[in-house]
Amino acid sequence: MTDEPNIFHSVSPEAVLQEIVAALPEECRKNIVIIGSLAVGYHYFRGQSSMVVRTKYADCLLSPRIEAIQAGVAATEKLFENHWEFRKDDRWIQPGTADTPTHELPAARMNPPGSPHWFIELLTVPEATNDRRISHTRIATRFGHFSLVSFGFLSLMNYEPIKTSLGICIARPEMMALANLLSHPEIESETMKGLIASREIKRSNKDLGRVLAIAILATNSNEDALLEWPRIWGAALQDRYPKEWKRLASLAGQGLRQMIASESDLEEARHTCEWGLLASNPPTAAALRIAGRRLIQDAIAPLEALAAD
Amino acid sequence: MKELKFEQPVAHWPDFRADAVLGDTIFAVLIGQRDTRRLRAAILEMARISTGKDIRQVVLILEEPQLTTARLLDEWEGAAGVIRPELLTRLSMVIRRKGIWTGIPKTPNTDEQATLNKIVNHRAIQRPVRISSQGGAYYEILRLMLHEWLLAKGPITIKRIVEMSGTSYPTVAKSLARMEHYLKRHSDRRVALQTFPHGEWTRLLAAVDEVRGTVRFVDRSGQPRSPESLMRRLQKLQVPDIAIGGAPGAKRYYPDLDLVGTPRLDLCVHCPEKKIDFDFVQHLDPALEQSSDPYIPAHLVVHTIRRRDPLFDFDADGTAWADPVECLLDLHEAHLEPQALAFLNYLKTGGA
Repeated sequence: MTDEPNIFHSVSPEAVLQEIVAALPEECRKNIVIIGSLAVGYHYFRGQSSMVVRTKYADCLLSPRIEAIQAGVAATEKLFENHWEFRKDDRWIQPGTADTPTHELPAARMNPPGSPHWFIELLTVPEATNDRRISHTRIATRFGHFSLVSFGFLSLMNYEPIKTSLGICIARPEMMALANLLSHPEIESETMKGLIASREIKRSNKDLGRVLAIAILATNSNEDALLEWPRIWGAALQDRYPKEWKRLASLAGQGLRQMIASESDLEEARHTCEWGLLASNPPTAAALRIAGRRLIQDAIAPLEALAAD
Repeated sequence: MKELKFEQPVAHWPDFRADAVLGDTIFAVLIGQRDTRRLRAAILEMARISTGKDIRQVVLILEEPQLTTARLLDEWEGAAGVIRPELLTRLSMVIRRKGIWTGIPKTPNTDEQATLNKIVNHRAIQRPVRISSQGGAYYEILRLMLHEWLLAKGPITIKRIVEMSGTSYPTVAKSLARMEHYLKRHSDRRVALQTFPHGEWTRLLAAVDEVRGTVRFVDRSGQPRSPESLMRRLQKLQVPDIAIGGAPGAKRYYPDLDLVGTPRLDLCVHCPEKKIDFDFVQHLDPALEQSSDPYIPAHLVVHTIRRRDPLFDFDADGTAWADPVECLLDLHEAHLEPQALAFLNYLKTGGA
């Protein structure tokens, strides 16, 4: 494990998004949905130049699946042509080749010219919605071979995305929250690969902490915003997982309930919020627990009730 | 099928009101009876009623009497000695202790017990309020009289005050005597305030927290929900015994009240007998926590209405609103003195 005191760096979501849009070929922008903290930051902080997001990557989800490979190739080639650079790490110092097995290919990660602190990563939606394992899809470009990674509940991320004035879509924050809730029906012991501000953090706590951060940001914009979430959550689950949506809905709050009941897990979540989306106004653990209770009351319990009908 | 009716007048006995009537059977309920003289009087009263035309049976129900069964039997046998035998056959006395029914001369059967349970439960809800202190009862009656006066309802009978307040006749009489200076008594024994009782009002304001059992809740999230959001959530809960008061309540009666924004939400909970249940607060916002520190600004303030008639006003959607007097007290309590004065003047000039 690498001890990086700051694996996340402060970036302006609007500036990063502008840079991405400018570098991508126009014809494949329609296939890209920006997800993750950058999308959340853009949604809630745009127009506030002083608001920054601590992140190291901009996740770009390619969809629909049938157009993902073509769009992935076009985007990767265009970025390299625009002098973006392959993001090297301990495992991959250069792109893969035709001989590299697909599951060993490096992800399509690229740093913008002169900006080593953040990078773009191309992802795609799973081939089948019931397949939630990590899977790799090869994209062969003039600059090498890469893997488009898909996993978990990425299929929810492109449900009714929000079109920005920059001409690219971002995922709905509430759908990112739902995907994270569903990804962690319990608090697992697996930790993040790097440290977050010198602390080892469970992945579940980091992701569920982000759910609470989104809930807090949403209610800062509209105090009753969470009341709207069950409707779109229910619709998205029924659309993406028609055969198992009720079961998924019944599981959505399990991990969060477990986390807010545990002082140590909640503290880890608080720490990630302080070093992430809520950096400018960090919550206390007590405030985060209340945010969790409000989310359960306003959104999760009604979703569970919807599924129980 | 015979229909069970509660609180019914009985033909030929204008001074008597049955707690329940089922066909040709009359029921009267005594709760927690401990006074043998009152029990004796009740049995003789039942015997008198049983002489009425079309009355076949009269049942005296004793709920949790504080007298032993042996004592009850003694009283029954004593009364039986002076009641004509043909009337005695129409009388019975049934007793419920800890949910178990017995009876004189016989224990009621299962069907009869079901009916008796309904009657006792209904009567228990209607019984006089246990207002914690004489002062508590007085201020309930004062607020009630103010309500009638400010809303120009006209003079009111003492019997009606007893019904609305849920207190006893002596308590009402004593309370009215205390506000005599402001009172006008009519020849038909109705009463009304004839002027605003400034002195009594000032005393009420000084004790208003205690009188109304006020409980404050503060936000612990650092991201408080607005009173409007709390109101919307309350409206979704559809709880008929919780009414909105405070500034929104006052503005409902007086839309031109000069008040921008609502600093906090005041609610009145109608809870005549039980201990108040604050569970609903967590449904309004899990961030709300009870605070006994009056210097911390409250986001939600809950007052208890102990009188029998809460005087709530309901919208078509079921939203309950506290009466103008409670709203006026809320404005004072929130230190919105100019608004309270404006609202009072509006009410005094017949605005509401």
